[in-house]
Amino acid sequence: MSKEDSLQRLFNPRRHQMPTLPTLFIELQKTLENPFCSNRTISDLIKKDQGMVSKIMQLSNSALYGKRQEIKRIDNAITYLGNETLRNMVLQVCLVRMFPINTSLLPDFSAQIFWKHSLATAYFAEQLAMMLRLPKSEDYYLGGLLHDLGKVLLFQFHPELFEEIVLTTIKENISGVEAENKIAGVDHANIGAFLAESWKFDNTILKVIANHHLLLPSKMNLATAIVSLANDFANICGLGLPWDNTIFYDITSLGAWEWIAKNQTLMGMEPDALLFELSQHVAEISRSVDVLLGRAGESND
Amino acid sequence: MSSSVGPVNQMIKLKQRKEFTNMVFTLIEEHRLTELQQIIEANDQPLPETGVRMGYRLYIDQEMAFRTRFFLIKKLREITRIEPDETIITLLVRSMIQVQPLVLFKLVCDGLNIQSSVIKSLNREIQDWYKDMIDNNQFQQVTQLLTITNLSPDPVMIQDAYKNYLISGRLISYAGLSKQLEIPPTPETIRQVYSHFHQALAPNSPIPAADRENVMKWYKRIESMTGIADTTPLTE
Repeated sequence: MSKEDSLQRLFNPRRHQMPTLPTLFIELQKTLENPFCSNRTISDLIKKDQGMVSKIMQLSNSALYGKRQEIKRIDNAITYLGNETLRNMVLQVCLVRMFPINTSLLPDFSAQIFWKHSLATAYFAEQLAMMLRLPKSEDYYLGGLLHDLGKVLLFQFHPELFEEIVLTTIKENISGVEAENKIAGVDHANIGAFLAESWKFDNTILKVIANHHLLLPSKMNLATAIVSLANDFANICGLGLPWDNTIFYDITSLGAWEWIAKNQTLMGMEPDALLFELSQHVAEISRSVDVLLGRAGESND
Repeated sequence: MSSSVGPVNQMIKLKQRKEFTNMVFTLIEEHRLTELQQIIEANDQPLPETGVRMGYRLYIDQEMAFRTRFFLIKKLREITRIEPDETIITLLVRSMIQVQPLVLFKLVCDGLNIQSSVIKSLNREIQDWYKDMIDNNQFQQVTQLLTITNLSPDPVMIQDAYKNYLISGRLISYAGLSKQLEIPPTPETIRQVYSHFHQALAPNSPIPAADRENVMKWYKRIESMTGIADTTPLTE
């Protein structure tokens, strides 16, 4: 059975239940596309969802977004964040709402664990892009945020299959992708790209999601390599999914690192220093996830 | 004449030595280690060992980010080839356990060639770290910490972890940890797990009916997923 057939078999019967992007996000994207849109227009749009306003205010004031003084008004937050970061933040809040991970189905898998990994990958991808002085570093954040969407969709639609995949990963000591292909006939990267395509994300994002584990030179581009490396960094920093077979890599031997080193000026990036630099944000990432999940003030799990 | 030249030369040498010592310490104090390296390379005088050791102590006592402290100590060690005392290393490692990601612990251990005696002296902190990882379902990290430290987690803690995982339905964590450590649950752990289910599902149990369905669900799955049988099965 081809991967396309497996996708159809898994998701077609429940196509009408497939999550759709919230109107707020779609409207915001349209608004931001207009170069003449005012902050007032954007804030009026966001104010339609007071829950969203509250999350944006909390996140804007968090250490992860590097705030220097308290932001008290949504208009100021919009100016401070900039269009792309605001778009990413709104999408982040929407995604957390769209995929409430039900721990009674699988107590080992929680929203906390999943979003910590996604946020860490997103944040690290953006930081790497900034260190490499690439334009539009926020787009790398978006790729990181969406890279594992297939996992959460598979869990939501087929929790038993998801559990079987995880147990196979552990029992046979194989990678998650191998177990997914073996059990479901398709992996989370294909599933994620399938969902992102239905959400009409652009081709670069689709390639990042589809290829972040597929480190073939023919499939590689800079955005994919950066998100793939950020994914590895998140795992190495202890922000992977618990059952993923993560080992301490020699960073320079990672496929994505090799590709970047060969095709891009590293701007003096040293692997160990980079690991220190990125890992110092782990606690801030965890706190941001607590804010997203409405658990701020509670102890981390 | 020659008798007076000796003490003068000695005094000059002593003065030069003192100046050199002061300069070395100033450079260490001001974190100017690249300059220190150049001076050491250009100078044939022996390094003032006490000054370097004071430098290590200074880096531990000064308030700074952990990574800055680590890189300063590592660099000072590399350029002076004077090993920091075990006390310094112990203080450095203790300050990072549980606070920093495990990968940095490995980098520090590798970067400073930390001896097993230092690791052993931190056994209590490392056991707490294991506990924290187990509570947070990070079974992969447990194995990694074991590989780095060569210190096994407390067997009682492992059995407690198995019990908690099985009781709370965290069967993936159970499967992961037991597979990684290759330590089976003891008969007593199995007895305690099933005893919990017997009590939770007994007619006089305080657990509400809705929650009992969940308890029953996990009870039924334990044997199929772990191969651990209940010797006195529940009668429904």
